[in-house]
Amino acid sequence: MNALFQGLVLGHLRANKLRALVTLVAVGLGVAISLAIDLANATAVASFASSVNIVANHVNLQVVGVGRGFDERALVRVQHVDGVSYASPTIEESVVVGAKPGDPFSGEILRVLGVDLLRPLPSDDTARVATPGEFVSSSGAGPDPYALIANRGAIVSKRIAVKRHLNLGSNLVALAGDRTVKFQIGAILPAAVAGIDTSVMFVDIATAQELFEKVGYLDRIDIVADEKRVDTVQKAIAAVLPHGARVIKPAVRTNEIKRMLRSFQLNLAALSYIAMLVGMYLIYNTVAISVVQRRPEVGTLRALGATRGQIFRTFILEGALFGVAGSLLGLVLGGLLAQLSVGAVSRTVDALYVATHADRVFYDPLVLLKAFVVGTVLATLSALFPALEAASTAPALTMRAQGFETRRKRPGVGLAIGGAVLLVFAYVLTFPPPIDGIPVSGYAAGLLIIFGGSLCVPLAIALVSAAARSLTAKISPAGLIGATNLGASIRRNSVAVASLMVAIAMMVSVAILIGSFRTTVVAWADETLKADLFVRPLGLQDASYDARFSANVAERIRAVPGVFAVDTFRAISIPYKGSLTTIAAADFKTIADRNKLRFLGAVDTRALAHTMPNTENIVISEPFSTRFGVTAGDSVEIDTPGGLTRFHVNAIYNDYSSDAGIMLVDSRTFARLFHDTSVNSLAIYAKPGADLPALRTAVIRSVLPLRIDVQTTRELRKLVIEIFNRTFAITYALYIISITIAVLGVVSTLFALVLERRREIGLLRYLGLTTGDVRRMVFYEAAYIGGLGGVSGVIAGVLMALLLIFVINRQAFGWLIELHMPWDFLGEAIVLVIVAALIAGIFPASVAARMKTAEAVRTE
Amino acid sequence: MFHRLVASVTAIVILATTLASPSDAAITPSGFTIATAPYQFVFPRDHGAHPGYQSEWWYYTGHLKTTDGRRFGYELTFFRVGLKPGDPQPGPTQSRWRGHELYPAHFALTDEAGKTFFHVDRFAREAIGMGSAAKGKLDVRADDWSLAGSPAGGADRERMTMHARAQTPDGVDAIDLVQMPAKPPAIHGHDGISRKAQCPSCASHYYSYTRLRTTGSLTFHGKKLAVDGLSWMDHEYGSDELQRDQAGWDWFAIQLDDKRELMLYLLRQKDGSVTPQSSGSLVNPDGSVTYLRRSDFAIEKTATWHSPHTGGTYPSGWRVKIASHDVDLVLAPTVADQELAGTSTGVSYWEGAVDVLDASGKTPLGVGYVEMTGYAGAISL
Repeated sequence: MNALFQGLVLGHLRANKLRALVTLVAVGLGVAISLAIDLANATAVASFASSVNIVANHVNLQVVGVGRGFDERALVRVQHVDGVSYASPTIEESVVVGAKPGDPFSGEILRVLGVDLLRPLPSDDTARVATPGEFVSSSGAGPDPYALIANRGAIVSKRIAVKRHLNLGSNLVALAGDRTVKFQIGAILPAAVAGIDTSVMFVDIATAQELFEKVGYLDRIDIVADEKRVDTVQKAIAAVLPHGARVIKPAVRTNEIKRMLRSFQLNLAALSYIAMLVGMYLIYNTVAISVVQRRPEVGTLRALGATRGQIFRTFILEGALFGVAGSLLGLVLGGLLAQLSVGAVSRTVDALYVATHADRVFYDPLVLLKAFVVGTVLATLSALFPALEAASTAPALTMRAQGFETRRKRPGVGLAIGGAVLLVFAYVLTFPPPIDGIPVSGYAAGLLIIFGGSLCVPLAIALVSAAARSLTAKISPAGLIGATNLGASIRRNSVAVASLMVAIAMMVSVAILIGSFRTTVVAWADETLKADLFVRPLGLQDASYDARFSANVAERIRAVPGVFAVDTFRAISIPYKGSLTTIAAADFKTIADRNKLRFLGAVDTRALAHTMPNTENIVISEPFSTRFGVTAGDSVEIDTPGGLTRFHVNAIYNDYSSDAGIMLVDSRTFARLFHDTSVNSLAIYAKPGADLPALRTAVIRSVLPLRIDVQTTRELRKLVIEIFNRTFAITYALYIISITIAVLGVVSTLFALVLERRREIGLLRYLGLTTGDVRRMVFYEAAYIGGLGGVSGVIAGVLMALLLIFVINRQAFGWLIELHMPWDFLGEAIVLVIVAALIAGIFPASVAARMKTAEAVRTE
Repeated sequence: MFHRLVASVTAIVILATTLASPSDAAITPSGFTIATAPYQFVFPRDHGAHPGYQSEWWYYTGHLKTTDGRRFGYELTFFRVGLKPGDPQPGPTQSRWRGHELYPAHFALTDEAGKTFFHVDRFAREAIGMGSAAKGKLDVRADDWSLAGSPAGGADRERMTMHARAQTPDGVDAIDLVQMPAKPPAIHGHDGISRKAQCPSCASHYYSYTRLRTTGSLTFHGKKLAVDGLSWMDHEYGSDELQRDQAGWDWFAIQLDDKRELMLYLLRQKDGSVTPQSSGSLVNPDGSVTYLRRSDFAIEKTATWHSPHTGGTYPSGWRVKIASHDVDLVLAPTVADQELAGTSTGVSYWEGAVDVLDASGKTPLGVGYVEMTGYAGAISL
């Protein structure tokens, strides 16, 4: 067996170093891209979890509030609960540093944790008493403790200190909503201090309460309770909490985040696994070719008594070898790629879901292991069919140096029928509902489209080959031979075409999805952004809704001449049914007057203006309805600081701003229930004929020294599109990599074909074909493969797009997307693929052209 | 990791309060009063807090006996650490966490029969009622631990009843004690100033109730036991009492069966010497106090104990002689390990119950408590 493997596989690989390398790189890329996405997904959750547990690993219970938080006096009651050995109060907020007016993406968000800086934390290691020098940069003296508390002292990470040129005692100027706040750097955490996110800044709780207008409130209490009776303690704490605060185990919040992010992350992972799948097609291809090329050796060995099992194991081992080596390469590449993907994924997560601010890759060993195992197993499985093929042929047959192409006369028809059956199955699978919010059967249908389409490829090749032969017979001998070769090596070419098809299908489907989505969102933004000017906090914002205006900003702007009306918006994140969603305050009079929302079904917006104000009525967004299975007429129960409240759902509206869902409640009801009159953004309606640029300046001046950003409707629409594009940036990156892998597949296939046809090429040269003819012959074949891959890819891609738009996105996110076919792009895709295939043919063609006639013939 | 951050900030607070630069003025650079001027104690006023001084403590040690004769030692201390002199005046936009005071507190229990010892602590900030010390009367709180005094009634304004309560977080161990003074407060030092070292601020105002009849309950490992016994209470306040060249101190509180009590205090310098200002007090059976100069008494170490918690090496046995008053005693810890390692004040120290024996080491003559700081690295309060 060992000798068999060395002789048949290793020897062969040595002789075909380049092709082995191409396969290896392709598998590596496939593993790398799915690993990079998995790591980015894991990091987003891990960053959130680490900020949850930042205070101490011993924390086993937490009290958390919503919105503005809960009464700080709860802390005393919680501390006195039997079994609570430690309780730490926390304010969670964020500020923006380095924001520039007019640039919504400028600056950096720092998370501010307001804790009791003087409260020692529980420790098992009682003898360990830290010295001040450990935490204070060696250049400075110890911070004056009173200064740390009295002068809004802040403890920042080394990264922030270096980036912002901060030293001990220097001031850090930041924006907290509309206000400019100043912190004094009291200590700098050395870079060596691990476990604390570098975007986190610590201040004393007194500082945090005052700066963020939360005097008397807490956002969170971290608790160490007696682990043996933690459930009893949890119940006892719950009994002393005010409304709107709940006591949970820390994992609950992480799970809520996970649940909220699940659809988004699963979709990314599914796309990344397509890249891996393309890599697997290549392994199939490579092993199949090596089986063909070594048929004489296999035949001899079989004749000498090698068993089928031995032959089978030998070729399976080749697949496994590629799997192990490719996966190892993939781990390295994926680890590096993760540095980029974490940034891209966390930007989207921060902007749309929850502020995690992942600042480094969390290399979860389980994720790494999974990538390695999946890569290796899939690679081994890919070699299954060629290995069976090698093992099952009789010794006599294999003595002849011919491909397995000769084994079946009409290889395409049976497979194509199988493929058609799979496609029908795929259609059937679009009907079942999602399972626990996950479109399981939708994803399965996607896989069936890929496999079904692949099975149709051999027949397509046979037909194209026949058609091309008759078309080129008179015009070009090279074209004729190319077409004949295409048909002669159907199975190998099928794999090349199929892998191209999968990559193109992915590119096309994602392009159609994104294009349709963008068109839908643009139409929605045009219809719903009806004000003349929009007021938002300066600089970058995340999904935390921390950046807010004080209530009087709206009053001051209302008084500006030329302003007709001002509309306010305030949102907070709240837990609901084990996930997180949003409750937002709006003014239903302007909603009715301006027709700002697109309601589903017949809704009398005029009536809403009367039924909503100051009541517990809500309207919900479509994704909320889909995600939580709630519809008009139902009620939604939420514990608010104002008490347990049952909200009645009056209507559902069309929304594309959040797939976590939004509940809209009247602003007066919101202020009453959440003790919160602050505002996240404002919309200004100008008086008819007002000079907008002048009005904009007047509005900015009216709130000075508070700082705000005022945008026109056009700028805001541009911002919506920009956020949209950023969200899908990672998706673009994914399919570019898939195309790369597919092109590598074409190179590998053509190269193998050229080498295998040495004898034929030699004969053809002998018969008078010029080197140019040989080159053209290879190019023709490349063009046929590329054209077939392109066309079948577009067809499969359109099918996948329909699936993504009408099944997967509908079920997973609740998005209602209108199909918009980018025909020009589809045409370009086909051309692009043919060009890519031709480029892939350059090297094999020149190798073929350089073959010496005599040497080529001698191989017989 | 964050734990160490906060612990260090605490340590900084303590260091800053104790290691501020020397000053000749009667106030520290941060505005706290220094205990240099002659001081007339007035009770019950001076049982309360003195926020003009930077540090203050109410310190109880005592020996308790259950009805079946089982012996326990206890320490219960409330510290007040001033961040800024004076009372805060929080406005509507000001956090209630802007309080000027911190209230660390320590509770330790020695089970003399079982030879076990444990300690727990509290660290309360003056905010939302978590930590407080009233002015003008004894009323100190650190979370759910408390100390309260009520006048005994009648004309004797120096007599009072005290009520001290503390428990572990799980409530399995607790004390709930009432202390009644058998003697008036003993004022240490001269003119109400207890001098520790050469520097002007190295002094405090310091008095003790040296003989407190104690009754109440002790909850030990979940079992509530009725106890009685004898306690000692120290109340001391000052600012910038320690300087950089000081290493720590040894403090002895001895309650003799002949109704006399002894307080001896040694401030050790980093060079190994003891400051000449170190002193003591002998409280006579009638409550009168005899001042003891450094030269009046001799304390000899007779044994050492190595801490497995902090690695520090502490004296663990003493011979105490005061020739002029016919005192010759042997002190022996009831339990060797009575170290409070890694407390909420960021320092470790040994504070333990000792047996007081005659020179032969055989005949019990009384009970005592010894405190030793600065043997386990960090300088202490």
